[in-house]
Amino acid sequence: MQQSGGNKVLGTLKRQGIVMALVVIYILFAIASPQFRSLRNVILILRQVATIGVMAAGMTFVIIGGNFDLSVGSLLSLCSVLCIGLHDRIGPVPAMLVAIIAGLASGAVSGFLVGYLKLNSMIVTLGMMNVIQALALMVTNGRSVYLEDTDVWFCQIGKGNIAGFPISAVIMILYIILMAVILMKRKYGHQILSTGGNAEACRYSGIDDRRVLLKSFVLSGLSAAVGAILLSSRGGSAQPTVGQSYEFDVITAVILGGASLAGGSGNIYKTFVGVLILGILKNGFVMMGFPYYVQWIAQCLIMLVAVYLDMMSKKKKGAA
Amino acid sequence: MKKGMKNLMAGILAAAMLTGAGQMVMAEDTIKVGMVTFDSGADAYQSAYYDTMLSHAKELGVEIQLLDPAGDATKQQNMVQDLIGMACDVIIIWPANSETAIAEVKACSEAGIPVVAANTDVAEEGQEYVTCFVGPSNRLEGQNAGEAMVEEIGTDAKIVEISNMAGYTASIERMGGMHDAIEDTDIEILDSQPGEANREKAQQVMENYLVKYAPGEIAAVFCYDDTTAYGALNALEADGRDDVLVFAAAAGNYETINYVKNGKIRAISMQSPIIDATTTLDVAVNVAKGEAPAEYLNFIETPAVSQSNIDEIELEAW
Amino acid sequence: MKNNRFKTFISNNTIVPIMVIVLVFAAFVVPGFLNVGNIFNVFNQNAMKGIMAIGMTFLIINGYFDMSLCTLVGLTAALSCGLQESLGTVPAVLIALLAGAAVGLINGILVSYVGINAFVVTLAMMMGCHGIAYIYHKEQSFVARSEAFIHFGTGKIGPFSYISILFLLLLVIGHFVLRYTDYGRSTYAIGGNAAAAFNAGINTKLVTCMNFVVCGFLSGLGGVLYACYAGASTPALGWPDMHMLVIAAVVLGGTKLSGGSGNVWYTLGGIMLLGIIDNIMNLLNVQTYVSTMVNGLIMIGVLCLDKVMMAKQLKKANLEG
Repeated sequence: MQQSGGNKVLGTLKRQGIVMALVVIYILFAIASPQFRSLRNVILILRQVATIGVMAAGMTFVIIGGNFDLSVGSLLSLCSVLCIGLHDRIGPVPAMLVAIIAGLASGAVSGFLVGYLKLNSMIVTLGMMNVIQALALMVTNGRSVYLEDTDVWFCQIGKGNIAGFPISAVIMILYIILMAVILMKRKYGHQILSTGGNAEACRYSGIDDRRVLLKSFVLSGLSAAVGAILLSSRGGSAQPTVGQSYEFDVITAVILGGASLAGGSGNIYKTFVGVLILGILKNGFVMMGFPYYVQWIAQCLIMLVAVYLDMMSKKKKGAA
Repeated sequence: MKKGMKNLMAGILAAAMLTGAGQMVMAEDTIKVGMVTFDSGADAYQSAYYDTMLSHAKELGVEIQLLDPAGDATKQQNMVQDLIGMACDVIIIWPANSETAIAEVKACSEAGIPVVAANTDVAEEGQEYVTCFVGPSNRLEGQNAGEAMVEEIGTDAKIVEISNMAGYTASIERMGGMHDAIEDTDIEILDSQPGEANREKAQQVMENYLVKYAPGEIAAVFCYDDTTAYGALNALEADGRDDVLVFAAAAGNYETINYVKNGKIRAISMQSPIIDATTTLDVAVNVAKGEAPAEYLNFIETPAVSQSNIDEIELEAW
Repeated sequence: MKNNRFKTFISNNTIVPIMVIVLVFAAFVVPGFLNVGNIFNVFNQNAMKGIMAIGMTFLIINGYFDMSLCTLVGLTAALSCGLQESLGTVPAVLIALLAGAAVGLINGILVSYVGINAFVVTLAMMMGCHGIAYIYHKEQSFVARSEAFIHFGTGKIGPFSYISILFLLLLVIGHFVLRYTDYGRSTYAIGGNAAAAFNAGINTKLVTCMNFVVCGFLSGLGGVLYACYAGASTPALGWPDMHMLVIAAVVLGGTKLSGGSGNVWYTLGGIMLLGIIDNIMNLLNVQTYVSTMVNGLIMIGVLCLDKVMMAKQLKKANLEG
């Protein structure tokens, strides 16, 4: 039976529970606060979520694989201080390369421990988080690092605009599309989805699940490094503890996006929806003038409701 | 298995050998000072304080056992117990939380070890166990910077503030001081959100404020340490807004001094970790020798500094 | 043959050789470690975490974990201190414990009956408790007024503090419940294979829910005890990673995060291991970030060691079998 265009759209929306939640939340805030719905604010939110957006895209791969990466917060700190600390000494591009290498290396270590040694990812990445945070503090001796001059092109990454649109948001969107393509169209994406679903079955079909899991962590590490570039270029400085507790926001975003914590399913675009929800909440609450503790309680309720709705919509899809 | 165990042992041994910070002078008559800090890795002030403590102890020739609970109040309590077990001659405590510190100082007092409270005071109920307090007067700091702000923006303006971590005693006292300074004026605080002493988070809070409040609606933003001020400043510069003036209590970093010199930060109340640490250690050593100061409260100087008087103040970069 | 049994014991309970190595190292390298006062100090200091870890052990054996512990302790500490003046000490403590159990119940219902993912539920509850704790505290800290309350936290019988005696008691009770009751067996069964347990007639939803309540209750108890120990409560208690430390202690002790195996004695080992390492760092006057680095390396190292031991044992079993 041919559904009319409108019905199709409605049907799609109904199935995508979390997108519904995003729209509802946005509308609620927009009605409540005129400043919230200004174009300026929309652009601000996009700029503010750039770092988490990039990191959540990478984390999606890890979670699809059935693991957690708790080290991304500290990795963000380390890569940020490397970027800024080395910028004046060896130049912006080498500094960014060093940061990216650090992200890849850390991801590789975590990936090896989880993928090859089959250690528990939560505890391992907790350990890595401690080690990396200690490194960031050691390297800077506890002090913040900052650029001599913040008018360099490096800072334009975080501060600048293209046609009124923040460059960091553009980079985030391009990165997300890249990750989504990898997940949905490339062989690796297929591999990680299968491995997360059933690692043993994959082994029988010839997929090296150890390699696949290792790569998922490398992607997460890379994302933290890119996020660090976006973050540190905004202010031209880096505190060695800047990334503390980022990992929970990142993982929350991925979960809001509907990725199953048991592994085997996930969608980068939906993760981005989760990122937007978090960003809107943080921004919206300040616009509304809510005290911070109300934000936490609201975040609690919204998370539960959003995930429940998404769960229900998935069930319906399954039944139909 | 052998390889795994070997690696583990090597790891632990290597870590032990990295303990360059420990003072192991074993002379019998050396005064042994035990100190538990708040969170040395949290910001530049505390790192500088930590380093100054170590170097000053070397200068004075005293042995110092310096422990860091990374902001955790219960860890701090455990560490104080460990210090008591190490038989220190005096114990300096920088309370992670003024109320939970009461039990800590009681324990020291029962063990017969004198206590000096550093930087943040113990709550009133615990002060009878403490010999003296050395550090900035948080309240006064907030007030100094607050008064400087009132001078500049007048008595009828609207401002916003960005606080530190929620529940952080020093920050609460500074806020109290600032609110005291504006109490008799018509200045209204329109908004107050935590920036968590994190430059990026503070920047985001400020950015949100700037969207919420159109140019001309707010006259100033008040911050409670250096990093928050930088975040606010970044947000203002990124937005190209110069209608909002930045004030900060408890600041004085090298970067901040430059900003005050060129007027980007209008006024601060200056707090130097070097002076803080040196003074505290000096007093503690005297207490260990039996020469406690006459007063309980020993405040270090935290003058209000702005473009006008910055050349007169003696500055040691940190 | 006795040799074999010893070796099997060591490989199965890797926490034991690890503890031995650490203790030997500490005894030789760390001045001040090997005195009785210090060792009991360490035990007493970690008793509160230990009690919370017992609850977490039950839950992990069941196949789940609880992150709301992080902020629940702040909430129950606040309730037990703050309500003392208006309601009296005993009602205040009871209400705090009830709050812990209530949060556990909410977790249990949402995970077990509604079917929402445990990570999400407990993370959300963590934020919820954080908010409520701050609203109740209003940014201040509460000082406990009751002498009896504070005395319980700091008093001792011989070298053991009251709290550590409570810890030992709860360990024995926990062991008994896990080993000898149907409830305990069901917990293991569900953690091992939930579908099979269900088919075997176990009411998996109820047992899982109950384990969340147990974990919540003991976490709440931990919060109250922290308040007794410190004589005050602060809204930041437990933040930001108390839950991770408790989970790490349970897993490092030998209880598998996937569920179905483990016991409270492993947890005792895990708690003591982390506590002793902290103590060693203090006594060695190590700089903070070295301590953080070592903590991280130990976590990874212990897991590696455990895996290597298991692999050896498996290899041996395959060879002999």
